[in-house]
Amino acid sequence: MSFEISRSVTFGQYLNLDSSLHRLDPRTKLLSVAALMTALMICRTPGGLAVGLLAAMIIQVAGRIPLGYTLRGLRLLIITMLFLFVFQALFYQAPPEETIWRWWLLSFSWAGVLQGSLMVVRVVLLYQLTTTLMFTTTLMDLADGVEIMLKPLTHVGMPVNEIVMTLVVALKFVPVLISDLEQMIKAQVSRGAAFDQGNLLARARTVGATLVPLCINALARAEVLTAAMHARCYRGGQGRTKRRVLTFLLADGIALGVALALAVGAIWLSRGLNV
Amino acid sequence: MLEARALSFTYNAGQTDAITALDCVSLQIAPGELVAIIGHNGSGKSTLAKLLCAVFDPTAGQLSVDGLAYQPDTVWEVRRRVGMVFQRPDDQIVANTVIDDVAFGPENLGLPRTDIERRVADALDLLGLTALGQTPVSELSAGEKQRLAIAGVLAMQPAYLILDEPTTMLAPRRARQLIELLHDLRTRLGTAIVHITHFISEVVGFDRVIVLDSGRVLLEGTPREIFAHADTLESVGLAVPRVTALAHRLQAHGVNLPGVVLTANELAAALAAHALPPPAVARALPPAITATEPTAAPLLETRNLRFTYLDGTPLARPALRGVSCRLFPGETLAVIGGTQAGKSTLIEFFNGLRRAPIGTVFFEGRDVAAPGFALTQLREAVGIVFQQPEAQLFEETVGKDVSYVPRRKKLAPAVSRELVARALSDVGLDYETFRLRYVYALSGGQKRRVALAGVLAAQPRVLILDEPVAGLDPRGRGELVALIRDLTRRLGLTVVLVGNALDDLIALADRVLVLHEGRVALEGAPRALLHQADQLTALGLELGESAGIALALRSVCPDLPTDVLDLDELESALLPRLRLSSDEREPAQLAIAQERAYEL
Repeated sequence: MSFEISRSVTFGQYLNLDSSLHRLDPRTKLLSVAALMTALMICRTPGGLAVGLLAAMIIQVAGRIPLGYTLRGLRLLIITMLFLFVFQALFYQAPPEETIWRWWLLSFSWAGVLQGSLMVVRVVLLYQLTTTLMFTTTLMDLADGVEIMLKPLTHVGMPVNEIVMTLVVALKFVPVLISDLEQMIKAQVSRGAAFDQGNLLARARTVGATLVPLCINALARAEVLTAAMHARCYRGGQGRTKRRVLTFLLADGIALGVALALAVGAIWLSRGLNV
Repeated sequence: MLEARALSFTYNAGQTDAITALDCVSLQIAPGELVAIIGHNGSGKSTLAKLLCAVFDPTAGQLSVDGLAYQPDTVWEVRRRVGMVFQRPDDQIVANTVIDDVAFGPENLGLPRTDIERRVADALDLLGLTALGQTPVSELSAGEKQRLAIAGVLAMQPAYLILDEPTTMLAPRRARQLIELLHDLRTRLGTAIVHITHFISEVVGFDRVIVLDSGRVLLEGTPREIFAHADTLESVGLAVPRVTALAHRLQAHGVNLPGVVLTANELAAALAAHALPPPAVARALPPAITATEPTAAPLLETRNLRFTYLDGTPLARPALRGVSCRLFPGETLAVIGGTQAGKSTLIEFFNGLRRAPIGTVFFEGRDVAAPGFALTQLREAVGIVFQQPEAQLFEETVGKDVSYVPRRKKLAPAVSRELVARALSDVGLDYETFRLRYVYALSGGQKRRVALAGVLAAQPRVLILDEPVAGLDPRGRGELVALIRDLTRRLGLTVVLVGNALDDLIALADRVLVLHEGRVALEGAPRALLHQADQLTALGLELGESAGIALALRSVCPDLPTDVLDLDELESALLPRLRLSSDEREPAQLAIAQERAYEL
């Protein structure tokens, strides 16, 4: 039993540690994550995923994030992953001679189970990549990185700064809203609502009842934030300067090189396999 | 000069539900001036703040800052010159690390990078946040967040700084520190400061005070001038500071004092000439009253309770470090402590909301973690009204929210109706009038009462109130304290009051438990604790206003007791120790009178 939802929802949290990953340029991290994610999406073989796993291990060590903390957030995804696993395993069409059992569209084969497992590993790796990016990069670093990389799009009239700022504000509210939610669930449970006991439906109802007041709180907060941003002279990207300059150092070159090599390696190990 | 001429503002102007918030207000704030705007909720002070910093446009009237009129094309320059700090820091902080948030304003101004760096460094230094530069905002304490919000605005180097009720949500000690900070900022930067508040004791050191009521300027002048109109202030729900009121009473008794007294130190200086020497035989302060624990079996008991938030993560934060305490049937227990003392965490154990990894909680002698103990039983017996409960009402209408527990227990409609009607009338709301009202349309004070009724409708044996008056204006506070006093007396409940100072509310308790950094630091009857006033202040706790004044007056009356719960007690403790101007008694007679006073 726990009302510390913040224990499980680690997404969007920044951990103020000092590690080589923390010190990297956000562009390096964004590009590396993009490359590795692409590789994970493409690769379908145990060998490819093993390379992905190697990358994950390097990231975990370099980021100095406790493994338990990284995996904590996955708890919320367990049901999704189970579903994915079962779906993959049962719908996988293995050659007839390898199929152990078949009924209508569903079948069971060891190859299917392997595919399901690979899918789960892939989800875990994708999760670890994005979440470590968040743990090791401040919101503003991330925003600056994205903004610089998307800058060319301003020439075709895209309000890049505004879009990035919207994301920043949305992410900023995650911990605030989580603590609002915790408070509301506590208030209900103390009045006897089911949350840590009772069946799943009753628990879902408890959480559901908080949504309306939660949204109303969030809207009220957003309204004040808008006023506060205006009062601090925010008027979009126009005429805005930056405190920080992003510098691409040797370490960034090495990190990006390693990430790209691993991504290419993972894809190369999956070549020629048609799935 | 920040100047407003004949300023009016109407919400929903032109519609049937139009509300005039400001009605023809004119005022001037000089550069470098320290001004307080005071008024209770609904007086129009927050609206005025938003007009001054150009977040709202006035319905009528003109505004200008240093000769620059507020126009659509000057709005950004106006906002640069007039900075605004909003009430809740969480709502105005944009970035998620300290340094990034402070830089947000200067970046918006389009300053060169080196200027931004310098301004950010200066602002952080000024507010003592330099060491926290890279810290995520979510890890800051409430006080640090507040300073961050101010730093973010100061980095824009405004000539005028407006703060909209920054102290409403703060513990008294933090509020006092913030006021000191405002004085300091004005001295060091020469920034004009407009502090908006509903606590009159905060405005004492200000250059000028503007009292708003129903959207109009009611009074304007120095604090001394304003406090001379005690009756006018009272008529709009504001009372003069307690020390000023005490001086008034002493004057009525014939003590010769200057017209209006602003601070306890000022009163002490003025009383020096009137204080009688303490009795020849040095009289030790009466011994502290030892807290007598009731002999009955405790209803709730915790033993060596330990708890850490986010245990096992990089964000772990210990809250309880071994708390043993007992709650006896029928008593009113107060739990007080500063921020991070662990008081809110402790009461969650009282209601079975948390389970202790280390330590034990007993309810009627039974271990609540033992297999077979029904947690529901504990939750039904112990009702909690959380902090700011109005944000946690989750049903649409008052009737539905209050009837939540009776409905969940599937009681017969008639029984349920009876419970709801009684709970509402217990909190002073009429059942028929409020039953179908929408929760969102109620005032803050009403919502708080509805939340209280929702807990009472469950017929708890123990009622826990977590900082029940926090965030209310003085009028709302007074009403709620009276309501709680009445409830505890009438319903015969076991009550736990949680607070951050030994104030009027806590004085209602039979026993007080002082928590400090997750441990029980002191325990005793309110009077016994007030005896140990110095220890309380050493723990960072604020005394009640009366006890605080008594402590300050000890410089002239060294034997003045500090265990005074209100103004009347303070007055009667002080009078026998003073030589009244009408006093023509002989010293010998005085000594007798004094002896008698001590007997009492």
